[in-house]
Amino acid sequence: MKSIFAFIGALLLHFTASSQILQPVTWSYAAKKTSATTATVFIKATLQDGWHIYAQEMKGAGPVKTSFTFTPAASFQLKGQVTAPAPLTKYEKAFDTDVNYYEHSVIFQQNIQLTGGKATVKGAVAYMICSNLQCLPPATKEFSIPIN
Amino acid sequence: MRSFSVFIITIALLGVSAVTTAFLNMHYEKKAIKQIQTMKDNKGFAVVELFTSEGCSSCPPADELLESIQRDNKNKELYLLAFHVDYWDHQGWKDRFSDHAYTERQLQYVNWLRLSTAYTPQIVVNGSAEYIGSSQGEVLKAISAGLSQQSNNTLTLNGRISGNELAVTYDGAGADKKTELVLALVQRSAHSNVKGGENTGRQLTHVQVVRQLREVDINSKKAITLDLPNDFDKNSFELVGFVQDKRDGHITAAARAVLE
Repeated sequence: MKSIFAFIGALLLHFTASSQILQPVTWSYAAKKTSATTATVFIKATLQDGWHIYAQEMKGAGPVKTSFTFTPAASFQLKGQVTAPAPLTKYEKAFDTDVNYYEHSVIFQQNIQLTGGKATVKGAVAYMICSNLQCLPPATKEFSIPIN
Repeated sequence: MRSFSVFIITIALLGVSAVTTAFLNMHYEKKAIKQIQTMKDNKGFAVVELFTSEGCSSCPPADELLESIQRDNKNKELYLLAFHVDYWDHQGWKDRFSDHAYTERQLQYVNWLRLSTAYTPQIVVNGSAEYIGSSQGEVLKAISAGLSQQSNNTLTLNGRISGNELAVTYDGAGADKKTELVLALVQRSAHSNVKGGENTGRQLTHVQVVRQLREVDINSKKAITLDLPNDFDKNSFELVGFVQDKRDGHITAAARAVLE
């Protein structure tokens, strides 16, 4: 019985603690070899309910678009651009224009040409996220994705 | 058939209740703004700092709240400041009222108020509590509490215009080494012509825009001069000053200068 209370107590403490830290986006990464010399890296943003991230392409000026930079390395070359699913579009009063965005989660993909069998794809994603109540300052998240 | 009618009636009642609640809220908030604006027996003051940007999609409701507090305001102990932060500026987009100093000030609040991050729109009242800038109910309550709280506010400010400069003198700031005097030159109403990107030609209106910010060491006897912006006009600007605790950000006194 005691342990149930302790468990509930710990759970409540966890919720209280996590509610104070605003972290509406988490990033996760994966890589998949598509042949002996090619691979695709996946960069996934998972958003809390009510939050959105802006797409890579935007018709008008305004919010900070999601953008990627990759650190050049001898072990691989980029094949094409970062791709993503079709975004949602809505009119945003602040910019008086339509903006492209994603809710819940989005997976960005980059095709890679390998020069050897292995590589580590390093880089960073710059982005901005908003809810209907607030926007967080633009942020940059570095990543390092191994391909074996 | 009967259950269908009950369903329709329930939906209709819910609709009526939602509309009534919204109407009552609006009515209550209008009344609360009026009360703040006309409060005669202020024991204290309210310094309201809004951190906002033209580049933030969730900011317009907060800008509108500040505007509705400012419109027809008669309360001299209410100080409204809109700081346009610069972290939304990027290629093809710049908020012309933004300044990195305002971002620095907001980051100081992240530290003082022990927040996990900065965000916009954010409203800080009397340097001691912060709210999402569009949370009208909470913001009005905090302003009202600040105005009702007894303070030993003896600060007085004076601003003398000389060419493109403003010479500032003050009195009653105390001599506490843990506090500083913060001066903000505020433009009561400002228009911005968007010059970049697809929004070229669009007009944006803002109120209480901070155009200059200066932190002054209270114990320094140095003369204080602020550079006046090119579009300065003494009837549409005001100088606001307040004493702030450097350890926790709490504001203990505030004043507005007569510009002459």
